[in-house]
Amino acid sequence: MRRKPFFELLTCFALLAPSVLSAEEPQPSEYELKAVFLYNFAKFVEWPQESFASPTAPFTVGVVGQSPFGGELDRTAQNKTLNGHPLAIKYVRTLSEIRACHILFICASERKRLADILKSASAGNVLTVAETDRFLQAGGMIRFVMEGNKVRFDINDEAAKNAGLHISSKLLSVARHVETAGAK
Amino acid sequence: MLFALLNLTENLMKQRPSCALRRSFALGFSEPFRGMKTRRRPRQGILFNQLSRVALGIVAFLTYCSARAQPAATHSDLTELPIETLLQLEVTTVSRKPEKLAESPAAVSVITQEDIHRSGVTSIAEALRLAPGLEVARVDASQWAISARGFNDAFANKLLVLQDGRSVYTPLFSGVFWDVQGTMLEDIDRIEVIRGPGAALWGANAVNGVINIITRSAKDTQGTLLTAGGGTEERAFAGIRYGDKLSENSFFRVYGTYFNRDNSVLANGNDAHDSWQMGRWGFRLDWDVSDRNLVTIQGDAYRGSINQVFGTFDPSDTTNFFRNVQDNFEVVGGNLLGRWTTTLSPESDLRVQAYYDRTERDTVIFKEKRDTFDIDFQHRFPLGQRNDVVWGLGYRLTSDQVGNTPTIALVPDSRTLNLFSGFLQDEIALVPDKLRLTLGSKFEHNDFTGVEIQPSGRLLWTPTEHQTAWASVSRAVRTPSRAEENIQLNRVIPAGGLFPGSPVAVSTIFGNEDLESEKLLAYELGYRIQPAKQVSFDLAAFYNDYDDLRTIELGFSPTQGPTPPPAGALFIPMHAANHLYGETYGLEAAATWEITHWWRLQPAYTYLQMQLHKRAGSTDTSSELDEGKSPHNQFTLRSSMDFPRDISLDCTLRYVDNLPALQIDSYIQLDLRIAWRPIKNLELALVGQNLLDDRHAEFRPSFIATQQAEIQRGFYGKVTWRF
Repeated sequence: MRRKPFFELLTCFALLAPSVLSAEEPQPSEYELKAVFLYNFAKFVEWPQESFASPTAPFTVGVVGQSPFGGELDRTAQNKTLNGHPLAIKYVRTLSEIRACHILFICASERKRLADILKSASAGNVLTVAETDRFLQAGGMIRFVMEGNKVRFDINDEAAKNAGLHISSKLLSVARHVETAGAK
Repeated sequence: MLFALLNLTENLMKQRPSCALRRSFALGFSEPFRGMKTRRRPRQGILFNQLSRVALGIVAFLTYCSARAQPAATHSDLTELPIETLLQLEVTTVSRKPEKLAESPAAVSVITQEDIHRSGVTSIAEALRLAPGLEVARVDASQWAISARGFNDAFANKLLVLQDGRSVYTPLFSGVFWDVQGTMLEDIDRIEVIRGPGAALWGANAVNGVINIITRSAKDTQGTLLTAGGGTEERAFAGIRYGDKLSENSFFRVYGTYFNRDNSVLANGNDAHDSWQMGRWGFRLDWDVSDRNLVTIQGDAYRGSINQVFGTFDPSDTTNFFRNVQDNFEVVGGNLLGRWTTTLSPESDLRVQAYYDRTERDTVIFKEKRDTFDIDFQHRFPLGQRNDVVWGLGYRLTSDQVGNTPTIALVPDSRTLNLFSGFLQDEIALVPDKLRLTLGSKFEHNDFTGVEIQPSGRLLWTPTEHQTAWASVSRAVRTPSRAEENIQLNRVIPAGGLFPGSPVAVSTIFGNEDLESEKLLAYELGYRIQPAKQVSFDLAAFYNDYDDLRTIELGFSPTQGPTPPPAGALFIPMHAANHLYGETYGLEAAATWEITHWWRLQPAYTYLQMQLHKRAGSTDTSSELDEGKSPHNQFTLRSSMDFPRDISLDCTLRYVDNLPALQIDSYIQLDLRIAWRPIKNLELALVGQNLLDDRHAEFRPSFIATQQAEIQRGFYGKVTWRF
């Protein structure tokens, strides 16, 4: 008896579906991984004492613009502390909120406002991170770059120093490209 | 003028379809199901076994689906991993910053590399089927008819096509020779398709749409890529690309491709003798001279050999005047392009681009060599807080040398044409992040019709983050082509072809140097919404008002000929004129639905209505028929599925309405591709194309008498290896 194509199709599903269950550890999504990198930046950069109101004041990661992270940032930050500072995610709405952030992720939607945002950030000790082109040239500090499907980043150490931030040599050593004072 | 496109290109870089992204191919599963794989099934006869497999499959499938509905299965906490390890992790997307298709005040869609790869298409023309709203019909093995919003034809003339900033639109007939457009498909980053006029930026001829083929930078195509395959219609093909670093800041790639395509068939099933083959090679160099200066140099060269049966006018045969000639003609071409971009400030840049392009086509009915030189300049800068200004200048010189035959002649047989252009566009944020007005215009001077002004105004409203609405009014023109001005095209109407008992007739179409540009005033509306993360809709509606469309009138041209009539045949002189006007309107709807992480559906529907009218006194008998050469309704449904073990299945179903003017029936076709990656760098794919019929006709040739061919079902296999 000739089997019907529909039956074959189902069989095909049946054969494939069980193997679905044996798949390995899933790969993270791009922004899941980038969220983890932001957390790592927090670990490898030193902020001046005065950027925290108290020893238990939160460590604030700000996001300005249309966030590409979905819920990943909040998920990563859940129940995390850094040297006693609980990690907090803040979705920034006005420029005046920026200076209170420790890390600021500037979404691609804010390309036009970039200069204003960086200016507001320079009023505090803010590590600015983005993934837009020419972000470092504009005075930003860390820029995510995709190489194939791996996440890489470039660092503008000079800009970080100017903001009173000390980026550990460890982080600098794994960056794809580092701009230091003197280099333009 | 080409340069404008670079700006648009950059704007479009952001315009990835927001849903076309992040599809995780590796899937996460909750623990309880893992055991199922190892559970032994009792042997109870084949049928039972199969049934149980089906049942198991369905259960697994459903449970799997419901499992996916829950928050993503948590994997080991990535925050615990050392940063060196994080750097080695691969994420599930290869696309760059996705977003912002939603922020374009035009009917734009993007065909990504992933779309091209997964669909199994083998040429750029075929890839265009993946864009909603385009009309793409295959005339025979090597000829295509491609248009947007009506007026489709093998010599369709209202669509501007560019590849990496180089116009591939030929001024010969204001259209594209699709047979010679190509590159290594794996190196294409994306194809941007703009339906509707883009003339304010791109200039004359961007009337019904603009297609912009963009290849990846050399930086993104490092390493070796080998592809090879073959099958029934795609008889054999192969490609090789090698990319490497020249220095810290400079990258290059070289590629070579070859294909050999089988004959299409005639309605009676016989070979149409139109098989063909082509070889192509090229290179690209991208050099970051400094942080602010980028230089790109690229070039391609191709040579192809195409079989085609041409119906020719043969004045020496005084009975039939006609002869079918089996030709094997050669097409040769190449181009070299350089581009320099310098960043003045984060919001300001300046670019200069120049290219040289040569094409040669040597058929039994017509020979043409064409050299084109083009230079463009563009500058973008902010003006105050709310204005983003772009302006540019361009110059193009195109020079041809044709070889005339009794069938087709251009008089004079060589002509050099100049095109000067400038454009200015201002994007004004009326209400920051909410309401944006784009005003711009192109100003050109061409040798056919003099000065042409093509303004456009576009308004974009973004009421919420996931919704945009836009509206536009634009004017565009299609300038006359070299052929329309200077041609003498002889077509033979056999005895009895005009009326019963009519003698053999020779109809000669003469070009007309008094021809004017075809003009369009277009009104467009669009709306996009992403009601949920997995679902998005894109709607566009248009009303196009055309004037001075080309007609073919009886009688001699005011500027060409007259030639002496052929002895012994009825002579019908005709000439090009501008006596047609009309309206077209339509609706284009496309959606993307990411059902789960591993299954995406993309339906698209296009409705088109054309109403063309002759002016009083026009003797044209054919141009109104253009109404019946574009389908009223088109529907496509694409499904992309990813299974574990790196198996993927892609289906494209397309329905195209009938074309009454060409006696083409409506058809439904299915393309299917199944691919497997046994190891990371190797992919094996099986593709079936046009599966639902042995053969079907999609279009008919016009003007040039080639055979009426039908497209056959085809299968091919392909191996892709990267290292």
